[in-house]
Amino acid sequence: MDDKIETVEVDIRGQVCPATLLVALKHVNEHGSNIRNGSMKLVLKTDNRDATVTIPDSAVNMGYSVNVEKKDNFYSISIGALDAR
Amino acid sequence: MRDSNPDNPSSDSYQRLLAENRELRAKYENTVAYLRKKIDQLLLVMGTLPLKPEELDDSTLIELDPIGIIAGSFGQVLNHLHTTNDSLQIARDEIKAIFDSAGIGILVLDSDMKVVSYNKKQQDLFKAGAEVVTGQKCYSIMCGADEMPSVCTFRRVMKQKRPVHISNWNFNDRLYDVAGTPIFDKHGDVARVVLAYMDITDRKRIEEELSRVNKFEAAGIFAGGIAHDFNNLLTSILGNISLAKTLVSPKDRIAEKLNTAESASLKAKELTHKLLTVAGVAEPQKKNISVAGLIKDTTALTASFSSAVCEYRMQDGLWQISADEAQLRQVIQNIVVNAFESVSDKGVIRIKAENVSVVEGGSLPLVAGHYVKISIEDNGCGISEENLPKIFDPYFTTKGMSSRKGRGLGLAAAFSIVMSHSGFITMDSTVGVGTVCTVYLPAAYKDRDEQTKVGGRALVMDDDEIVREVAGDMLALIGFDVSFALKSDELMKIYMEAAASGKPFDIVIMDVNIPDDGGAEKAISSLRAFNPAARAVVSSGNPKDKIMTNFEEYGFSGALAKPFKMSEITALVKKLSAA
Repeated sequence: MDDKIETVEVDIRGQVCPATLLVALKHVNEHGSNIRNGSMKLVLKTDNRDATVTIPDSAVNMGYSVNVEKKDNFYSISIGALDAR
Repeated sequence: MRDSNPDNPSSDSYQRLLAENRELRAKYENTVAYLRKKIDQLLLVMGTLPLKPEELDDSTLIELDPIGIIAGSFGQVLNHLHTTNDSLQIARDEIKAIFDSAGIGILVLDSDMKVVSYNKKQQDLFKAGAEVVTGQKCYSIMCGADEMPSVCTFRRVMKQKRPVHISNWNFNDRLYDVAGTPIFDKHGDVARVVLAYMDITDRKRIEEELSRVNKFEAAGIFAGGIAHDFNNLLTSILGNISLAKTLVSPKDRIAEKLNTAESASLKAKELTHKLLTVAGVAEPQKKNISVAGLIKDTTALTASFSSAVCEYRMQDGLWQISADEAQLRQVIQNIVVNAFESVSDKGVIRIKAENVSVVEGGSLPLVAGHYVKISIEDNGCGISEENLPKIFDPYFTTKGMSSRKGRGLGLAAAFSIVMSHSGFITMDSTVGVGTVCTVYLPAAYKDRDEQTKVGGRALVMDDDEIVREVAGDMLALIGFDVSFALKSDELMKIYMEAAASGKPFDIVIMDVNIPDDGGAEKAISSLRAFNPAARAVVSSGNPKDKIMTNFEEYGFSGALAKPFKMSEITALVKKLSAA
């Protein structure tokens, strides 16, 4: 199933709050319908630790599933449809 | 004249433009400040930090459009909330359906022990007349107390903060298994306590009966062995006493001693016989017996020694039972003797016998079927709650072993005999009010069948072989000659052939749904066209089917919901035969 899901990656490293959240939400709004129907997954790369809380909180409230992974020098926040959790 | 050239910095026009420019700049700055303030408010709601002017200049701010972004996100949050609310509503409806249909009482309390909600079954546990229950303290509407009782499931759940289970909780003379489960709020405090009450009174009663039966079986093996050996020894003792008596003169003092020894040995023989009965060693020699006469005969002898009054209420058409007459007399006598001994001279003994049908899954530990119920009720001293469970135990007596009255085997023997007849005996009593002993004995099959015989010819249409077989067997039992059809065309063919041969069917039973066929609806129209007076019954597993609920409109004389019991099919065909 996963190979049919398009992944859109957005690199917001270097940005701090509240810009990280606003940029992330802008992309979530833009791709909302595709993420919701399961055809797309949005992956945000950030090095701002606060964003690992604010972005998932907002995305969950909007009805998405969120997964945060710690990579070598950044965090990968993956936002997908609820069913595709 | 003042210079009005706007290019001249000292001119009035130039100065006015400067003032307007300052005013506009101030307005712009106020607007941006207002926007930043509102954006900060929105960001705060989103759980993030306010904007820093040094990081985001005014033109970038407008370009980024934070209000638009947040508004878009809020739109999605609201949509998600609506979806969640819809799901919650369905979940709530599901819980309510489970709640209301549960066979156990469920009570939800808040942390102050006030009733939040309860299901229908739980209403039985509330105090009579308790109308407004929600918001009331649990102990007030259930226990009728002014404060929380010392033994309380709610108290334990609140203290232990984990699920609690209490077995055999005695409430209003019934036994309950109570399960208390806490529901925690997000701070980890108990917000609600869910209490589930399962009534185990009937289950306990059946368990006690089973345990008593097991006790008897164990005692039976032991007592049976001893009683046999003891009987052999008694035979030798009694024989030798008889022989010894022939060797002395009847007037001799030795003869007197031998007579006393003989009398005691005969009593010992009687006791052995009772032991054998209790042990179930004495197999009943069954034959069909009319209970009413046997009860009156047996009671009359005991009643003649008492001034207490004996009243009889025997149902007309009482079924016969298949029983060992001598053993049945012993059962009645043992119960009646106890009843007479418990009443004063002005006592009244009421003996009732009636036909009853026991259904499967009822509270009585009996196989479903027809029984004769005999109840012997007295208004005597009663039996204490403590002694009642032991009343059928061998060697249990309240009369004192040294007295002439008993050895505690009478009711034990009655119990053993009733059990060996596949019946059931039970005793209910209230001290100072009286006692009622109830005996159930299975009705004799042959006798019962004759009473329910209807007879005739029946035609059954059903595509299910098992249904055909069961309906056929049931109808055959009440005297019908049964034929079968799988479809409506076949039904008509058989029906018309039978009519032509002079052996018409008295009753036709047909299934509503037959695959690839019009079923009962098709069959009834053909049947009515052929014989408007035909007696037809529609049958379905769905009692709400339109043909079942309006069977007369469709031309049927009756409706039979599947699965049907013997009693139901019998009652229906009897009713139709009589019509």
